[in-house]
Amino acid sequence: MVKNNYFDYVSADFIDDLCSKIAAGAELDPEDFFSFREHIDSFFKNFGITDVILFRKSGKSASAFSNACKSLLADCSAQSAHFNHPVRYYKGIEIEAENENALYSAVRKERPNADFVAIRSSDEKVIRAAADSLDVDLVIPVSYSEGRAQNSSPNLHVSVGQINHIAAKIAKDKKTAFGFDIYPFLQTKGYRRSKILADCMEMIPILRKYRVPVLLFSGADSFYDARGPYECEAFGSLLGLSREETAAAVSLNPAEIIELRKRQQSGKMIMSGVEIVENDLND
Amino acid sequence: MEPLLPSLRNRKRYIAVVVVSEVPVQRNAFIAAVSQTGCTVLGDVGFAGCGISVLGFENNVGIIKCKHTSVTHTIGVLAFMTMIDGQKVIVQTLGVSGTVKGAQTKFLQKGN
Repeated sequence: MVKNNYFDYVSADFIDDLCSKIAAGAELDPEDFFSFREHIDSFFKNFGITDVILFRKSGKSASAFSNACKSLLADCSAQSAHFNHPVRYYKGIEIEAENENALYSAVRKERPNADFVAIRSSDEKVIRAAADSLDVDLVIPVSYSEGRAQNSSPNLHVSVGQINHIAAKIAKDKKTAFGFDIYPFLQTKGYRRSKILADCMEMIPILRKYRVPVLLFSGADSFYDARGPYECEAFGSLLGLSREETAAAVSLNPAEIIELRKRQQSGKMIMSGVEIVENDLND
Repeated sequence: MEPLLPSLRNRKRYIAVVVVSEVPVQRNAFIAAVSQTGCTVLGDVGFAGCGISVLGFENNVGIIKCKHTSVTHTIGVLAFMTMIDGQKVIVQTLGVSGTVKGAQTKFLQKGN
């Protein structure tokens, strides 16, 4: 029986928060990052997560990854043959661009340094441009900013972009996935949460019709935002995805994206649709 | 009143959950939070249709009963729970079983 990998996409800040909780609970030295590895792995393992994409926001410097994140990512980049940790980590970049030009320049700058590039925007033009880019792995059509909402304790302003059949078709052709995270839903409540939910639900039939891969993840920013694959699947079913679609959204679809990106980085993919499958035809 | 025949009763599922929090959560607070979040997320009609009820909750571990058709909605409600009694929590689903005994033996006594 093939064992599925379960993915999650969490912020680098989440790892720092997790480290501080672990340090407080286990009385570890916060400077000793190597001793944290086991605890962080067991935290994700308890949730049933086997692969974690750590993202930092674009625009911050490379040092935005804390030492803890760097040590996690370094272990996994040196992986291959003798990788024996239960959880694998990937380096992700999340780009929030205001327009297409900003998007293109940010993607060009960040792509070589990242395993996974995600675009978060609620602007239709940016979403379409991101879907059209071969260097973008994931489009998150829900953007949020802090401090604009009123009369609400979690003070988060969330806006959801709309997609049409053209953007969906382009995304399918360019193998760009669309993703939805639970985080904005945890930070809002009442009418605003139902509005975000309704806007996201509207996209699902379009994505389904054009068979665009959908990803579901926690998008956790702090310790208490963490959610497992069970919860992500349930969240997907609330959005209107079928059981098979939600199962693929937390395991198969992200695995395919990572696999595709690995093949591209290995140099065997010359361009889109052209790949070297055998080096020496004379053998 | 004569009890319903087993074939006429609703089929149920039992979800084992664990609450991650800094301070132990009280049973009544957990029940109140489940019903409040359920009504918010699913609406009163949807929550009633799911047949969600908390069977037992002790030491931050509990079992939640729901209809067999609404397991994903119930887990969705639990995923949306962020605060209980004013403190931040994670409600983690351990697994789903068809019997209370199954939920206890498979998920709650596994690590003990």
